[in-house]
Amino acid sequence: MKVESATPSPPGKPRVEVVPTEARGIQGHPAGLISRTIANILDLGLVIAFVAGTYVTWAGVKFLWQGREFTRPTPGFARAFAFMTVVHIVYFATAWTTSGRTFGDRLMGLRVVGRSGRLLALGWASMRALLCVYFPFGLLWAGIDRRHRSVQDLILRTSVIHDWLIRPVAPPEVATSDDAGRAGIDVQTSVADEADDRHAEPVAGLDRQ
Amino acid sequence: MVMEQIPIHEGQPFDNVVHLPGGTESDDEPETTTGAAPVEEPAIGALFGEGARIIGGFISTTSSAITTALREMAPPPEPTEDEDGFDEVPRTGPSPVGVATGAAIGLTMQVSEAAVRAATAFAETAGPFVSWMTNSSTVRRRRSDVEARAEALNDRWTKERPASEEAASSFAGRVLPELTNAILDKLDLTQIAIDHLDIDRILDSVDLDAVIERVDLNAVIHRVDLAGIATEVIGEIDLPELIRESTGAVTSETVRAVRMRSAEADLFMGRIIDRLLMRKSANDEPEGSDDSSEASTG
Repeated sequence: MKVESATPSPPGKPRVEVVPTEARGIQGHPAGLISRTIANILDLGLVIAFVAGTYVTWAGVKFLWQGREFTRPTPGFARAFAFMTVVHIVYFATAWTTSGRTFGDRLMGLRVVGRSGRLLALGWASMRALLCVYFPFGLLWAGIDRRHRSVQDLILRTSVIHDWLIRPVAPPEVATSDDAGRAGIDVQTSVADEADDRHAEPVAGLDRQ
Repeated sequence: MVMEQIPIHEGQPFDNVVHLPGGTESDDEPETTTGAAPVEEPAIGALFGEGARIIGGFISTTSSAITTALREMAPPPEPTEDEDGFDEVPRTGPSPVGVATGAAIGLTMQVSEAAVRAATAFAETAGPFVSWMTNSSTVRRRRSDVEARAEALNDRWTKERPASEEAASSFAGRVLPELTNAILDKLDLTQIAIDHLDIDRILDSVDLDAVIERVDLNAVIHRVDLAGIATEVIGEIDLPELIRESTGAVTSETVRAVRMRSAEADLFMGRIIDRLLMRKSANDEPEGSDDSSEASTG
């Protein structure tokens, strides 16, 4: 679908486009496997760093507490893995329900949104986090699916889109895909348009540029 | 208008010229014989006729203008409520005042024409007798005395003419401005200009670019409250919100490049998958769309 007006001007104050010109065409469009994989790797590294930091902190406190009798804490792989899983789930759920993006998502300019383009509720975000952590390979389906939906997205009807703004804006009524050609990026199919894959359309209300 | 209907013969001989014997065609009048093509002077009767018509036209024009002004000044008649509403017949035709004025003018002109005809007939009848009377020696002597007296009066007028004209000019110079101001005070010149001037046509004839070139825009800008305008603009665009958004959107070159390259890689991989699965690319638009021609991958 091609809409003439690229920026639906709200009746209130005028909006100034802050997204770089070359990236305006992909705003609101679903992100592919590579972008999401990079974001997940960054998130995984952050979680591992947090767990490692927790371990170091725990060891330091234990050293101060035990003094000469200090022995290195050995929680075991299972406990460490379980702790890391919980941290991962809580981190994902919190990030997705508050801003729609984790640290990796923010670095890659991605955002997890629901079917209507809005942020996920806490329960929905928790379920998605659970599925992502316990079944990470579901992400691979995003490389095969025409609209870049992972298994988690298919189950929970969510999507990951390109959104470079720092926080989501209330979705306007009109969604556009006018600037796709200028950005040198093809307009990809959308999760919002499930009827016909050939009529590419961004996620409803999120193509703000 | 009556004035437009009055035939005024400028420099053309009249058809109904009455020639008095003797008098104007005498050899004593050098100015009528020196010209290569002597212009035949109009007869007095014709002049009286034209004068009567002109005066009648003036009277008609003035009276119609006064009548129109009086009619506009008079309060409009209040509409009478007819209970039945069927027998009301709209008044048409000229007003009694207009009819009376027109009748008076017509009568005046008719009387004037009759008087002119009578004077012409009298001149034609009494012409020979008058000519005989003016050629007698007594009359000639009297006539020369009268001419000498007239020349003396003319010389006196010629001497006093500059002073008189200067006095008249001075008087006019004092009176005319006040008179003009008094008239202009009564007129709404702006409304007159709007009603009678084609302002668009005037503007079309003005070279606005040349006007702008003559304007010192810097001086104009300096007179503008730029700070106030900037403050208002910043208030309108919600600058704090803009800065907040920009912190996420305006990233470093490295981050921006990583984002764009990964997005392009996604598209590239999507096309490879489409080819492997032998399915039509999701980027293919229906016929008639120009997106496909613009789409490209990096």
